[in-house]
Amino acid sequence: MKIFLLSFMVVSSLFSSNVKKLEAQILSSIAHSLVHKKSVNICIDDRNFKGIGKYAKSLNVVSCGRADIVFTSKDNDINKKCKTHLIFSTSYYLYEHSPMIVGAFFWQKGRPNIIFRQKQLKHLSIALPKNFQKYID
Amino acid sequence: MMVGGLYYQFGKVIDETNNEINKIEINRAKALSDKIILHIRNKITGDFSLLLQYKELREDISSFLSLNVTDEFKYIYVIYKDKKGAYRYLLDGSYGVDRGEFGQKFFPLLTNIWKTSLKTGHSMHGFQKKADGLWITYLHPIIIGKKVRAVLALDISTKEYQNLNNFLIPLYNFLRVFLSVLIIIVLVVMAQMYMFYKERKKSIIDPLTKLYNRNFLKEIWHKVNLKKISIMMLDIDYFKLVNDQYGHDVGDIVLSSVARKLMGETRLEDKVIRYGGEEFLIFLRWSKSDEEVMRIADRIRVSIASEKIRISESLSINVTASIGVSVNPSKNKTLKEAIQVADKMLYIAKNRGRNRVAYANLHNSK
Repeated sequence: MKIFLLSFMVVSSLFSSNVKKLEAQILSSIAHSLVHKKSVNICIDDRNFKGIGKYAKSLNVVSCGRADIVFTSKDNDINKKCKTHLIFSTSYYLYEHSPMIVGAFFWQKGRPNIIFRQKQLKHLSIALPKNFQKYID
Repeated sequence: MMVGGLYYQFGKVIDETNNEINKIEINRAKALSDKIILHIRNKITGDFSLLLQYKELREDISSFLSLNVTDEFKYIYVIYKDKKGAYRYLLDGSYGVDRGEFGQKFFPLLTNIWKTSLKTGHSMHGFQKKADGLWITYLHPIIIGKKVRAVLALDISTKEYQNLNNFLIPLYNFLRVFLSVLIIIVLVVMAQMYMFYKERKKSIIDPLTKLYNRNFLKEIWHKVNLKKISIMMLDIDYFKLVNDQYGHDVGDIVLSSVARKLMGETRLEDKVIRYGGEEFLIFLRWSKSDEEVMRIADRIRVSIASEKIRISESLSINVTASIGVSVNPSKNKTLKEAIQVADKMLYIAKNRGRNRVAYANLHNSK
């Protein structure tokens, strides 16, 4: 029983670390497509993405006040609290209902999804790299 | 061997079972999609644009899709292609965060099957490798007025697949480990056998002449069938003089050279043994006649005597050998006696002036 529990924990931690790595890669790509800096300061306001910083070396996880981009899943007046207007959602629902959010990264039906709002990109004068063009809506 | 075969067969069984399960799942998906398509057709009565216009109709059909969602068919949804060629959700039977809103962009992972299904109007399926918890995606095109309007997608979860693998894979892994252990054991045993034979060979081969030594003679002592051999005892003439005059190194070269000649003049099935310092014992396999044995013995004598042994650029030595032969040792009671007879004949050959052969126990003699 102990062996079973131990192997289950090892397998699940391996799986979760793989998912975290993938998420970190995606977040890093998104951040660098929006902010042209070697090291991007990000604030993550989503429990599901906790600890993602250790998998993405080119991202600095900082507080909201110092962030270049904020990744959030909650509609909690983030725009007022944070200095940046670059807000990326980790929930499609929030993206749909907050027009000032520039895009969203979320899991749906077991697949990772990315979407960018053309209107907001234009408003913030952001030109996405070629490989991200297909995600603009 | 048997375990290897079992492992191979088991691997085949897993593959075949997987193929069968795949087929079954795809057929089940086809049956369900047929049922859903029929329902959608009845609802829109041939006018696809109704679905794009009326939210209530979409919600009604989405509810029907939800009713068909199970642990097996995890997600059921309908995707259409907009005028710009982007995939978008039309209907979705999922709830919560997994539900795609009407018009929401959809990014398929198996792009090819989506393209093909929309282009050709054929049902397609693909195996998911990147999606979490999904096994197969089955696509059924919705054709209205001979035109593919949308695609009904069924995502089959990995649950069934895992159920199968939970049972078979551990067994397969056990066989794999068992086979590996068995291979290691066989390799260790083979290595041990190799070492054993290498050591054994060392113990029965004379390192200087590469001929068998007396240890070998001891090993075969009781196995020798006197009826099937002739025995020769050979001694290099005046070998002590060679050692005294030229030294032991030259003596060793002479011994090696004579040994090579003996090997060259005998057959594989004959046994040539270094019996003592410069003395060699040869067990000659049974020959048809006494004359043949005599011919071989003389051939050996001539071969040694006729060719000088080259020691260095400036030194070559000519040696001769005397040979005593017991042509038919079965006339003696034991091998020891037979060897003694050959030895006695060698003594006679030496006494008669060396470089000659003396015979005893001929078949036609008493």
